[in-house]
Amino acid sequence: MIQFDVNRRRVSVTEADGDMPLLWFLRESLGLTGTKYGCGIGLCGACTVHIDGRAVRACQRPVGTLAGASITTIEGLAGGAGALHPLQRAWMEVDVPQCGYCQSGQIMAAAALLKSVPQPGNGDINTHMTNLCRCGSYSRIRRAIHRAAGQLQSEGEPS
Amino acid sequence: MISRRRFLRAAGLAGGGFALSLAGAAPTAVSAGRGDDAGPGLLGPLIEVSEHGAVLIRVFKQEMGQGAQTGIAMIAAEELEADWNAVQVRRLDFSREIEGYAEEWGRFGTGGSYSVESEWTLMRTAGASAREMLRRAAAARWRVDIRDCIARNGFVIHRPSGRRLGYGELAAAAARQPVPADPPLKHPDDYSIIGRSHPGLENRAIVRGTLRYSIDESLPDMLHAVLVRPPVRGSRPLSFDARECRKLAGIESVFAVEPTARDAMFDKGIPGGIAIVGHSTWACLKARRLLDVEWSPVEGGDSESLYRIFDELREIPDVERQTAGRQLAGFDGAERVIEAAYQNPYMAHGLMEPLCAIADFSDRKHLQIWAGTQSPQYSAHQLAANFAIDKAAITIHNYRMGGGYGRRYFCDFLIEAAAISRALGRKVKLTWTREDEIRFGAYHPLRRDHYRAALDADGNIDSLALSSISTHEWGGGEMTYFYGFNHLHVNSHHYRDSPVQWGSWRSVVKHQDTFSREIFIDEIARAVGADPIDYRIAQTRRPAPDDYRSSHNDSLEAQLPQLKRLQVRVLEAVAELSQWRRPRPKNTGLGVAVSAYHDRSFCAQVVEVECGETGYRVVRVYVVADCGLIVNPNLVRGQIESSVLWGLTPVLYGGIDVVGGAVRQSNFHDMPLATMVDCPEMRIELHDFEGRPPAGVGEFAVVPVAPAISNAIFSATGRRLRGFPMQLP
Repeated sequence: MIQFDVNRRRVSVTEADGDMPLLWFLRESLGLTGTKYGCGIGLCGACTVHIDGRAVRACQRPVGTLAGASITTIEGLAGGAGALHPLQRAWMEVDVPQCGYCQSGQIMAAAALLKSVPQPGNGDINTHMTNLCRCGSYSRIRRAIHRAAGQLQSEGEPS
Repeated sequence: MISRRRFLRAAGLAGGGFALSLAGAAPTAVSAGRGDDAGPGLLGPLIEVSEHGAVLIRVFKQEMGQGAQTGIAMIAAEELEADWNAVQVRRLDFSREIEGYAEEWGRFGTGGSYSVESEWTLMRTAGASAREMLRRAAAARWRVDIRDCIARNGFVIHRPSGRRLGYGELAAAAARQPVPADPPLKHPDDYSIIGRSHPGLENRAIVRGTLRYSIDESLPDMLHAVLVRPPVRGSRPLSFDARECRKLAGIESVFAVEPTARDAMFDKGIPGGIAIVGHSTWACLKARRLLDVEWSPVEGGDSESLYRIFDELREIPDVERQTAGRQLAGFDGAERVIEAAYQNPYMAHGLMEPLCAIADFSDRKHLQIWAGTQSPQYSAHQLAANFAIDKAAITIHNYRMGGGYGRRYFCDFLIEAAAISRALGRKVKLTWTREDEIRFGAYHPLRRDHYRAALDADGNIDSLALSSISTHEWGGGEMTYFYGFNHLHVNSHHYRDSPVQWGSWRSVVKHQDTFSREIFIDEIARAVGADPIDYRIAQTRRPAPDDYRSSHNDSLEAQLPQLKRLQVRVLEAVAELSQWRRPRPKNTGLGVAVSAYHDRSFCAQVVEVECGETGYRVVRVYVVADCGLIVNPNLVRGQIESSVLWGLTPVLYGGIDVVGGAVRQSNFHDMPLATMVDCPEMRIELHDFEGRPPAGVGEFAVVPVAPAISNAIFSATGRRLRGFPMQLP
């Protein structure tokens, strides 16, 4: 058995299923469908989750490689039930989502960015935010990241 | 006219709530002469007020990111005088109850940017009727004059005494009030919800990852499927070897699915293929790699050769779209003629949520579908025809779509899911892969436009001719010319041998119409040494000939003066917004384009590009829009921002290539989409210059993007780019 944590809960998977991408394990074995399938080749970023705090495209990580890892998905980003991460609040206030499908991946990518660069400039955002959005919500994603970064700074809240 | 008394009906809800529904016989004028559908009974409520005051608004239009459900809910809530924080929106499912009604109204499809425009009257009337009934209930309760009772923010208030009752407390009594025949509608000056930038109603679920798209749905006893389709249209599986697939854990069945011939929009059928069915999508995807299929060889066409074929075909007349004056004879003896040709490749949608549908057709008589579709009603008709069942036996449960952009008006994925479910006698979820979505798309047609203009001695357009050839019958020339001319001939030819399926791609024909027209007018302006905005305004102010006729607008004569005025207004405004006349650095170019989607939604854009040795960058886009009354400004801005990115993608990355009948692209590595780095700065100004009702906003801002970029690149470099992608050497 391979064991790892998803949203602070221990999960296990058989060796035989080791080649299953984390994306499908989350979606089909755990029912965590906030992590989306978009391209299956690690390009679009709709399946972005955190593995040990770093943004990773879940379609490219077989679960067999995850023993002992700690994974956070969009469902676990904010901690407690009903709570929202500052990025989620900013996303709502700026009214970022259009179709909304890519947004959980965008938020997870942005959350990892804020951990490494708490006050990102537009250049940082360009470099780190490579997720695709077919609705073209990029300028609002940018605004929402700046807004959340500002709030995190003034509140001193841990991201 | 509609008899409102007949189409709205009130009912009480268990627990003391109140519902206003579409009901009764369909409007007489519309249903006259039909006689077959005498009219359905009560339809799912449009507006529900619970005994706790919660307001539920059901919307005919589907949500795919264009904001229609939030916008339409705002319209109803405005007239209802609801507390916006108490409002929730629900999708209407397609069922036999809705069929009779929606058939009359054509409402149960979402496309063409019509949603807010088409629901404007219905939802205001429904909201106002409910509000009047709540007022009457309060007046009766208090035994006071109704004229002293005002509705505000979820309460009815008795002005003289200051007494107030919440909508929840009044709901049961309101249900017993007669539905007003002609409820008074609010004056726009009194709007308190319309005109505000309320964020999307489903944002919270989206940002928490809890909103269920159809691809996220999981139903009891459901199997999963993928479908391996033939690489070239018309190809069939000669044989397939599924032994290795079947050995995999979780694989239930592998079998051939017959092609489907009968769908009005799939002129060459839906290809069928080999279905792999299992206990998870992942198991099916894994098995897919092990499937070995021998396909029958089919000679398919190449997209690249179509442009050459089109060039040879262009003098063949097909549909005469627009005429005026002496038509082509206007060119006789012309001294100065300018001509140019423009090309549009096939383009795919790239929906972030790949197509997906769950079907339960186990008994082969009743079909239930769970999917995100733009066309539940059209789809139900196609499903009924394909499987020879009654429409009344079909239910479609709608989901928010992870992008639609026209692709989900097509129902191939529903038909496939139903076919697989029927074959298995099980409930099945069919998931498309990204590769499926790109290779089996319903593509923006390939098209070539050839323009000619003869100029008079002052540089004005004397004769104008467009010959357009497209792989779809809609062809070209569906736009009104607001520019002046004396003689006009617009002709379009439908090339029927497209190797791939046609589709409606966000902004559809207007995208191509505007592309060629707005570059061509720029070429003329430059040729006569005029400023591109000044020249557009001057040509717009010239009157159209009295005999100007168009196949898409039969009230041109009445409309043209206003349309010309609005075109001039948005051009003047965008010149000011962009500081058009301010000198820019040498490597920077400005380009302009203007359009009027459906002759109603006006958009002028100025694009600023920076050109360097390695190419160009779209730095800034200035947008002036007049789409009538704005229901939700931030939402409209969002649609414009979105549209700019949509228009930018093919400019930067081009379209779809077809080689030997097969689509060459397969995923985002070879069909890139515009990204954060590509996203220009946008300055957007919204106007309603002449106080018009709301017009569509979902697509109108796409169309000026590409021609404005082409014009900007010309301005910076002197190079004229007339196709996609636009690349500088």
